[in-house]
Amino acid sequence: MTYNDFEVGVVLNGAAFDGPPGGFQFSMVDSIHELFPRGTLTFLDASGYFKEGGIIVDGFPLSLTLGIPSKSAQLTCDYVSRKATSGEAMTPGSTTGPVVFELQHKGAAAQSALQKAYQATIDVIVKDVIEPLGFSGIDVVALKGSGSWWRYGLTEEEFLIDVLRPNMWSADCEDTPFYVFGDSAGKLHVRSFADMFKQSPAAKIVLMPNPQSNVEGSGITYAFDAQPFAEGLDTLYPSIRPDERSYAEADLSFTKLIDSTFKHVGGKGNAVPVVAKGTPTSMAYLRRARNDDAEKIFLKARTNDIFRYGMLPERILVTGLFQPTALAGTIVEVDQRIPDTESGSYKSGQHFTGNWLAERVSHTWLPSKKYAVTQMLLGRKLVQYPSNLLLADMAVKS
Amino acid sequence: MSAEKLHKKDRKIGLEFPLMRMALVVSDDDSSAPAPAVASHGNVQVQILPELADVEESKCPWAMPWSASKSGTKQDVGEHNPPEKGSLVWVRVEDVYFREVYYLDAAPFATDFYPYKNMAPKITVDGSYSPTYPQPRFKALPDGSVVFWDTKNGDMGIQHKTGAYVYVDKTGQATVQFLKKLTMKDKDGNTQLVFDSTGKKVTIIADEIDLEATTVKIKDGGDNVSLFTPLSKILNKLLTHIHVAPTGPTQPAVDSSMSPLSSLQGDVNKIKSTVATSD
Repeated sequence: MTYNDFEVGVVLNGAAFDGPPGGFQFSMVDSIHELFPRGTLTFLDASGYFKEGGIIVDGFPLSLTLGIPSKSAQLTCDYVSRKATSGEAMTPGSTTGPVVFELQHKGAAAQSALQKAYQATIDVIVKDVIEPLGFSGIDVVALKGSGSWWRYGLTEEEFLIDVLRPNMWSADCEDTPFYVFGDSAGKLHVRSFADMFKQSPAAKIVLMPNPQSNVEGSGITYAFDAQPFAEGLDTLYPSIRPDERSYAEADLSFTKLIDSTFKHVGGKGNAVPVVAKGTPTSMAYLRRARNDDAEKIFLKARTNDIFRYGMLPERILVTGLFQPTALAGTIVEVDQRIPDTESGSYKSGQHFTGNWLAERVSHTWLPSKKYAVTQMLLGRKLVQYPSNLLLADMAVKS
Repeated sequence: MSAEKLHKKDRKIGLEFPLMRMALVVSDDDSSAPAPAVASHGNVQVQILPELADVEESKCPWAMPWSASKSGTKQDVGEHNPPEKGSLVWVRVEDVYFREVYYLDAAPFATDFYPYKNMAPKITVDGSYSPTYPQPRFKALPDGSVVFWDTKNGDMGIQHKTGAYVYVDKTGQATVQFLKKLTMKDKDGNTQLVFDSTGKKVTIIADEIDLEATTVKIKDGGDNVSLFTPLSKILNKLLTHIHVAPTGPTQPAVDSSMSPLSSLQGDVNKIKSTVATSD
């Protein structure tokens, strides 16, 4: 239903929720680190009818829609309930009251733990594996290396994320890690970090120094925070320097151990470097010759994969009006406007202005405000500071 | 922080690696094993249980030997003794990708598979040995052959699947049983002695044969006879020979002791003195 210029819809097990849009609130969340997009939904079960109908059973199918008809931009994603909880009853002793759902893409409930062997390039295997998950589409580039892979009683998610993804490598991935994720439009993406960053911006936001000021262009007021953010930061390993792709704390002693070991026995060691500087990670690699081209590719891919959380050392969190084209894995152009003392107007700043990768995006329908907002965790691979550091000087002097 | 820890941090798979499992050996011929295995390096193809129980045998991963041998790792030291197809082995899976799979040098214990009950009664070396639990220790090979050693009495032997055996009993007596032929060769591969049970003959190939024996017996049609009797008969016949001439039968013209043949009498007597008669 259209409400205040927004298209908002909730479908419960195939039946459209016919309550007013003000009667429910939901979020659609996607992340480049999650195979299945997530969501939350809260609505008021004023009569207890829905609870009686079994809606709080785990796995209950729901579909959410959020869009802007005037822009022909709309997100629809099919979910299942992973957890449903009841709020406080409106009338003591009754089943009336709010219901809160934690949602996950419907594919999460369509999984099977299978035992199966595959022999193909990984992109071909991925297409086969995701078939039962019900994604609305997939974009995956041709991946290099045909090898044997074993799905040893693993679900689709376990197999895709833990077994296949770390071994993905393409000719144009520039030795960056791969991400396998579904977005809030229900589409699955298999993309390298380099590939994602080559995209054209899917959305543009303008950051103003004063949120209350009349923003140029979009007229949107954004909340902005440049603090380190929860997602990803706890998995950003300080010992890794992503720019140089090496360990700051390299296990040099281990490298020496390997060198000396094989020098001593006169055999051919396979001290496989896991990073550019040649730091091996596991003694196990010493035991098997690695002469097969595909196996070399897989090993290189696993090397790259180590850095999948370290590729975005700089992050900002931006919240603003609904941006339906901003999804996890898309590029968002940020224009940071700062006062121009000469013109008395604004100009683009040097630091935050530029292209950022949307690492996690949540689109939320707020019934109390009667509009939707988008919160984006944006990151980029290299921290950029003004070359002359004038701003820093000014800050220090002031 | 190691790479392994980095990977484990958000792993979906709940299994702990390295993973120890039993596995069924579905092939022991790795001469054409695909990567990540290295062909002809003692790999065996394993159906890891229960994780790959439903996977087609020909598509199962290959496991490497965990250790070259207890003698150490060197190119010319060690052993090539991969487990046989159809046997159970322990495997250790190092990684979630099943890229590093090793079979250990010990097989898992399974009550029904313990071989003593089936194999010990078959170790008889043609009735010369009686196994008494827990003896003998043995290694039963997949084809039915057994190498055994009795650590209590000292009996030991090799019993081939055909029934042939080499057996040294506790007193040191050795017995060799063979089928069809027992051949002995010199170091150059030249056959010198062949016992042929099919043709019932013994062939000795030599420039000279020395029989240094006090008694030599020849079995002739079922009876043992000495060499002396036939040789003596032949010689006496020759010495008393009367030749029929045109002028009549000759008489021994001279004393038989004057005959050139009489010189053989000494040899016959020598045989007589050294060969025991049995007739």
